[in-house]
Amino acid sequence: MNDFFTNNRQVIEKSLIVILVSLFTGFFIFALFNQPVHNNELQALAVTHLDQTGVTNIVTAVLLNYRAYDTLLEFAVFLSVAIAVLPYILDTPVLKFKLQEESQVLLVAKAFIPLTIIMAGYLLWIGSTKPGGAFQAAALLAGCLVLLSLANVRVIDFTKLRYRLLMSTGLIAFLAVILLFNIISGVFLRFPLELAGISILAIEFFATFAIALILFLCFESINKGHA
Amino acid sequence: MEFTQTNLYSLCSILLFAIGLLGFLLNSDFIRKLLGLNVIGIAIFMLLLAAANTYPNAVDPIPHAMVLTGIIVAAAGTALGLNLASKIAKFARLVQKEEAAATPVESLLDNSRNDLQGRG
Repeated sequence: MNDFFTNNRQVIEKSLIVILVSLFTGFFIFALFNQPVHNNELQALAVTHLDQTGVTNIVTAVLLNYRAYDTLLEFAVFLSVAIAVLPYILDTPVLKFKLQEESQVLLVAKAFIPLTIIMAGYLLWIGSTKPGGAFQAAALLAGCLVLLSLANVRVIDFTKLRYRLLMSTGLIAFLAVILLFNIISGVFLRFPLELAGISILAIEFFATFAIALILFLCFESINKGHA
Repeated sequence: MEFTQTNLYSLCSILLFAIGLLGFLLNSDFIRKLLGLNVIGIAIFMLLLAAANTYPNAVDPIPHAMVLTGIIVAAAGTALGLNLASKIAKFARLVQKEEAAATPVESLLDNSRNDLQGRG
């Protein structure tokens, strides 16, 4: 009997895990169909106070006005990840970036990158009224950078100070805006109604470049960091 | 309770969560664990989005904003995890090489013992 347990330990452990996970899933599904439906009061609150936020897109209003705390902390977390990933870039021996004129990827990059940059700008601009904003624009810009990196074009050297500054501009701009309003009118993390729209746009503008650069840094540290 | 679109999405997200959890727990490979964690994260995003759509005429924006920030942080966290994984692999290779160079027989024994522990 004892031999049986020692010989089949793996199988027993795995089946135990499977049984526990299925029990958990069953309980979760049971809970899902027995919960009372929520009454959507947060949505009603968000809609009624939308005219005090300076933007008309409700998700942007939540991100940068109602819950600006969350977004500020998220930028801080993101910058911390960038700082944590940066050594992996610096570790590497300097690779030779040889541009191949015949490369198919370069052809695709040449065709798509101008369009993508225009689209990113449009998404950033439209973020205050329609779905869009800093995160979507940043994802597009990061896609451009990844495409260029795959085509062996070296666009960004993360050892340079200016790129590191650009990486932290998202957080710096956010903190600067908060400090400004704190000094002027003594409120913390609240935008005055007449300046809310323009300050949100300013924060989103800088955040776009910061997020795009950090996303590209994450990609680059895995891609070229361990060659 | 009738079966709505929201419930279908929640059901799918729970199943996805279970798949991710199984992948995370059953594999000992670091990268597979990371993939499992990613699947779990996406299941949670899906659950949040389904909860936001309980009233299709009045979609709740707060979960949408949370998911928007969550996706970015999850991507960054995955990158950090992958970097750490490859660093660990590099160091493990280095240690193995040094041990093999120092005492060949003993290192072999050590390796087999480590393998057993890793599987258990």
